[in-house]
Amino acid sequence: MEITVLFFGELAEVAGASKMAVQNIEDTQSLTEWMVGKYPALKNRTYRVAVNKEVISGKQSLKNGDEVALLPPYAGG
Amino acid sequence: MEEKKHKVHKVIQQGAISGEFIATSINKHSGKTGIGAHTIFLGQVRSDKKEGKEVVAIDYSAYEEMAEKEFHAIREEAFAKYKLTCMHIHHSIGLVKAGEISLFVFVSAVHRDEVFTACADIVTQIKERVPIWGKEILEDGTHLWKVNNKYVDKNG
Repeated sequence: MEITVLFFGELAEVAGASKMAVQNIEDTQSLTEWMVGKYPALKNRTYRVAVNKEVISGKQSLKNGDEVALLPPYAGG
Repeated sequence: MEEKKHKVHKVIQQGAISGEFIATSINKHSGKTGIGAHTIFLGQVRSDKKEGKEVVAIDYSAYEEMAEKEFHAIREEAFAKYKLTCMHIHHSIGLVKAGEISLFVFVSAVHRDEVFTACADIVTQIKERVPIWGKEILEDGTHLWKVNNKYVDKNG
């Protein structure tokens, strides 16, 4: 199974990419842990997690084709 | 105006929102004679001092599909909550210079009480819920990331 991870704003700078495909990740918690391992600078960042364009709270299981976005603090307006 | 409530309007537009665009938008309402009150909110890029340097522009980016979805939800909720005749939201993406307009919220109703409350509420909802980011470009070419003051980390 494969999911797409999107990075926005400052987090796209931290990751050096705005989009990435990740295989075999069961849930959002494992994903963020894996991300922090890959990009240690993420550890100190504040962000929300959205799955298929819905902000989630806590842990959510992932399925093939899901789109997970890491959303740093908003600045609209 | 019932049929308009569920239409999805594209909110995000490239670059600053011009005074002409706003004037045209106002003029378009002259035929809607049931309206007695409009409120307009304009968000302008502020030339803050950051680390001793001036902000000369904000480069806005968005998670566009989710942002449009949130704008639509905010709109629908406002129509359900307040007795509005119509409502328009426009937000910039890309570079907007200090002094230029990046957000235009236009709320219309029969009476004034409704539009004052609704407009303030809509602007608050936009700042809290819509995934838009602003890269503040400083006078020396470096940048910082703007943060709205009510951001809550739902995962923390």
